[in-house]
Amino acid sequence: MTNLLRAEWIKIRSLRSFVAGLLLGALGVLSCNVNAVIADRSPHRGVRLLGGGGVFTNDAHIVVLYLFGSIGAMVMVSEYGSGLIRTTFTAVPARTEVLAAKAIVVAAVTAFAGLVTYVVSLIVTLILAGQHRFPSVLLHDADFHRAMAASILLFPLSALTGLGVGVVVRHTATTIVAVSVLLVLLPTFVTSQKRAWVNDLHNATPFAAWQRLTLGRLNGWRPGDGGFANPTIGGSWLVYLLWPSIALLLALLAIRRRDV
Amino acid sequence: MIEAQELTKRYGRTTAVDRLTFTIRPGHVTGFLGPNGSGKSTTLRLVLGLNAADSGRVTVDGRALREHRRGLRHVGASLDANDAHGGRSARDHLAALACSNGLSRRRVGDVLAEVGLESAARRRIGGFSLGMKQRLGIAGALLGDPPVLIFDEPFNGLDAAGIVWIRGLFRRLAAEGRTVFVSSHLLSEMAQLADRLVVIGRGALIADETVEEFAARGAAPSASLEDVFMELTADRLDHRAGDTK
Repeated sequence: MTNLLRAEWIKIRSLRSFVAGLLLGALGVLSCNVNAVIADRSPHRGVRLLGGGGVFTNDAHIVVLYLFGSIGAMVMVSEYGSGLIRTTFTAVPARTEVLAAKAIVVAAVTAFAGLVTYVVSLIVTLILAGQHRFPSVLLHDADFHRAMAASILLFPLSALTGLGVGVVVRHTATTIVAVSVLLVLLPTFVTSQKRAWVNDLHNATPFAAWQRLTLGRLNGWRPGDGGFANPTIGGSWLVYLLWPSIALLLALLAIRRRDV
Repeated sequence: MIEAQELTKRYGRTTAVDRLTFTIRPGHVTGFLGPNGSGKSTTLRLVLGLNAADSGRVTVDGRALREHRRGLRHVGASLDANDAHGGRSARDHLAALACSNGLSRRRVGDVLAEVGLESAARRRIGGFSLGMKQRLGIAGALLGDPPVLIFDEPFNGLDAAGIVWIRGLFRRLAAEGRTVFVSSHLLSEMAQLADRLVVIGRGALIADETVEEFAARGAAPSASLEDVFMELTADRLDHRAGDTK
């Protein structure tokens, strides 16, 4: 398995388009966060950060879902599209292991991209908000820690979900549309002030889970908003676990059975 | 050795491979012939475990390839010169393949030298000519030094020097005791290269014999391989030019 992980690492690092995609994705997220602070003329600049909600804005997290979902999908779709998948599976007939190695490498690379993007966003936000030192109160703030973890883990969540969709769909354009619909558009379609089950569906999306996990003291939600149960923290972490898991499980079923 | 037993593959109502039984022996170059759409590529994919057969079985040295966790030491194959990502360099493409099978990086340099691509090793595959891509595919097939080698239309895009080289390479590989199975449309090339032939039409077996035995089937004593092929496959053509009425 170590050899397969190294092989997948070589594949990823040797593609300029993948590296450029990661950089542009990270820059896109960073620009959303920075822009939000610059555009904020109020004396409470950075209040979201100081309230324990972290530095990522709503726009930034939509960019993460879309771009990193697409990047994850392209790792697999590019193998199908180029025909490389036939060479790969001839060399490694154990298809489950190929998928596992890809998932591990993609998760590691995108989690690292998330970490770097978060740290840079944090530093720039602090500077723009006129904070010259890291607010020590945040060091022990559980809300801030949770928001940070949720924002960073949104990168591998999106990429792994995209990877799974890529295996199932295989065609570039359809895959990108499917990733956009699932990760970005679905949460806006399934909202209802009248039906509890639609509300539950909304809460089961990464979009809603990230929002719940990044709510801090100063911008917290009130239980019973909208008349229905809001997402719980435990439930939101479960959503983080289930989305990539289900996507990869479907990918596994498809990759083992299908002709290439 | 490659052994196919009653191998069958259907796509909807179309039977692409129809109860195909053949044996490809080591120490020979075996040509794989058939008209367009006769099921050659599908058969090769079945051999490699890329496609699953509806019935029947095909083994490489006694085992189905899907039963191996790693394949390069058991069989090397080049099905399509374009089966590589154009954005990667030849060296990185081969390095990833070698790494996946626990092969040393030195093998990458060895096979690049073998196919004459050393000077292009760092260039991106997308800028390669078709002939260079063919050479790269062959390099990938040779990486694991396997006892069985499979090539689908390996002459496409090669210049005259390339064809002479590939002919010598295939003969040498067979002389080393390996099983070499080559699909091609170029009958004249097969006449020069192959020791044995497997010929199919509409997915079914027409011949599995030596080149001499196949040539002797012709109506005329001096019939060429091409004449015999045309004669035997005449009723199994799916596409024929000039058929308009």
